[in-house]
Amino acid sequence: MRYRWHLGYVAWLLNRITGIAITGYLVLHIWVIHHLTKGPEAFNQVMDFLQQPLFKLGEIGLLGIVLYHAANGVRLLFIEWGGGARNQKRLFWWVMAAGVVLFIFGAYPILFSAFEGGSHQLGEVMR
Amino acid sequence: MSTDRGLGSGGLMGWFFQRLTGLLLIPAVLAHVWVTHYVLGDPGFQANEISYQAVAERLSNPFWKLIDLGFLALVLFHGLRGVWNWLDESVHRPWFRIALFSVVVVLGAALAVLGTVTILPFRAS
Repeated sequence: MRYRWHLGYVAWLLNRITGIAITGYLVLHIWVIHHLTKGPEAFNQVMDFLQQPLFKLGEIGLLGIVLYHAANGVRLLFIEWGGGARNQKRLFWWVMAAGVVLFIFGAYPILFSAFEGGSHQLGEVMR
Repeated sequence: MSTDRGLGSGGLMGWFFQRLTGLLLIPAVLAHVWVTHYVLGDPGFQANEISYQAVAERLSNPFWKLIDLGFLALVLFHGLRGVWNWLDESVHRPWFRIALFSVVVVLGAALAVLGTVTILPFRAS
């Protein structure tokens, strides 16, 4: 069997890749947040470590991955539960556009907090 | 394939629950990220720095504990079921399928326990 690179297949493949990546992140996330049980010092120490620019950039990547998975999920719900779509390509690009808007909205403050060395300076930038 | 029965993708019901949990997770994840990572207020829209104090304040409310436990259950079900779907379609040797299925089940149970013991008995210290 040969797969062809049409939109539905690419969307499905990206959905699977992002889903696996998010579940991998989820394992780490639950483990990291579990440090809450070890008290304020232990938890804040881990959080300080994760405030480094490298992890902030990672968070922006994660945001993009989650938003793709969610937007594609909305597309699937439209098609399967929402009575289908007359133009599936157009639907794909509409949900992706919504995802991109949310991505820019969410990534912008993270990017500033990563390189301005703290969230308090961001307000001055965005005011 | 008849050999896939029993350990398969769960058929129509499994598909239905994957869509249903996915639908619920869209507002849940957006709210989770918004509440934990962003601050709207003076001065402006900010990316938040996570601290023990901020989390402790939220978890002092039993309502938030319930919300977080429900979120944990939803996300574990959806995530691990998705991973199992992938394995189910890619792995065909029966013993390997059983081994991987066991890993997914054990990992799921471990994460459910780890998440629950983090949220449920939490008291700020």
